[in-house]
Amino acid sequence: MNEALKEKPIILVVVLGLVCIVAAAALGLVYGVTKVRIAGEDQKAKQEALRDVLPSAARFDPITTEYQVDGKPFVYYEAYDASSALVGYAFEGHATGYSSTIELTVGLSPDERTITGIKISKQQETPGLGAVCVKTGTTKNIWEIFSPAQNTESDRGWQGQFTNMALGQLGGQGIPKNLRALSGATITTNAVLRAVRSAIWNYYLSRGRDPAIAISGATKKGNTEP
Amino acid sequence: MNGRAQSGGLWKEFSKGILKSNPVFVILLGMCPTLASSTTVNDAIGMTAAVLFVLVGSNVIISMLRNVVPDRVRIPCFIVVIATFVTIVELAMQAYVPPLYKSLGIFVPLIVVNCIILGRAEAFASKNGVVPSLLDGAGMSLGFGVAAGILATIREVLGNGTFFGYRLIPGFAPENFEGVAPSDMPHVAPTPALIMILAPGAFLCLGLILGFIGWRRLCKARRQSAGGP
Repeated sequence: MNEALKEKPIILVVVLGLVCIVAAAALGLVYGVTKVRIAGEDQKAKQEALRDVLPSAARFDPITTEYQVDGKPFVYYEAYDASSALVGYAFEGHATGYSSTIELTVGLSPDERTITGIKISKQQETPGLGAVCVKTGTTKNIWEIFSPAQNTESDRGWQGQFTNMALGQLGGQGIPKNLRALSGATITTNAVLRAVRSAIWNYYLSRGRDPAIAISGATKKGNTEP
Repeated sequence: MNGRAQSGGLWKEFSKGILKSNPVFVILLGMCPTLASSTTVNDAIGMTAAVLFVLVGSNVIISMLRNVVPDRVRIPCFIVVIATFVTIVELAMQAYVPPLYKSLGIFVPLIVVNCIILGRAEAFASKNGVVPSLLDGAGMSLGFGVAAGILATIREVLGNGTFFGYRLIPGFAPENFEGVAPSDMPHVAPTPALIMILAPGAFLCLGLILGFIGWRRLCKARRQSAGGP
């Protein structure tokens, strides 16, 4: 192409426009191909989190409530085991941590008084400090590559401490007495607690009940903040 | 004879990125993704794969466009091409390797502003043919991989006591949070040097490696000047 012609403003616009159109078309194509797959992976991760917090459940029925959280109706899941007996409830919560939004799923026992487990599904906290919140105890010893089939304990790591924690024990604020905080990551610890508390708070409110009665620590201190 | 010289030239385009002008250790480009993604060897390899795809793809497309795109809009065009490849990588990673996508997080979209990629587009692909550009892109990505791999190995072993996620020495790992009650914990638990995983460790490690490379070069230059005429 002639060099003088190439620098004409109209040519600049046309070339840049063409490059953008081709790029947009390519992206549209890739998005179309991966969209279904990404949605499937999200769904799978969600189901895995639900099964993690309520291991005895066989099926989860989503229930959309009229209670609004962040402008969206709050959704909780009723969990049933193989014989269709209610084994608990599960719902999602989130809070801002040190360097990311922490998203987690909380499971509640059928009497709604005990946490059956929590599962942090999304976080980008500092590696080695805050990110330890999702570390599980199943880190394999390097020598086990050569002699496998041992040490298959399914330790749930730091978040496993929430398993079977009573709501009264969780309390309304501060770090519960027998919860080991993440060393060097107080902000992450508090964010996880905040996410768990606000999730439970929202769940209670969505069912038209007062959460303060369940979280006894909150009533004692007269603190109604989630 | 001409053909042999040609293929030797192509091999040089490929291999120069790995050692002689390694983008991280020698040209000192792309520090941010190198430091950020070298906390574990797995992350470093994942990041290298993403960089390889983006760099090879953008180098090829940009070298194809080099005679069509007017000089004054070349940078916007390069950025559009690079951003497109990065978005493709991001979508593909999200769809096919979600665990890697989760652990690399924000650093995947940030490949757009990785100086290695724009640097190679501007300094090489926009002046050379498709095949040399492809080889240059592949070599530079592997060079990035070598650098990130070395850093990640040092940092993961020293900072986490693991290699590829496998524990190296039993008991020598941050097990404080893994089902051990505080009362059972010995007073001085052997924990790895956590600082190596954190940002200061990354700088420390990179600085020492750069210092070592500089020292080697200095020694070589001194030997040459001493032995020379």
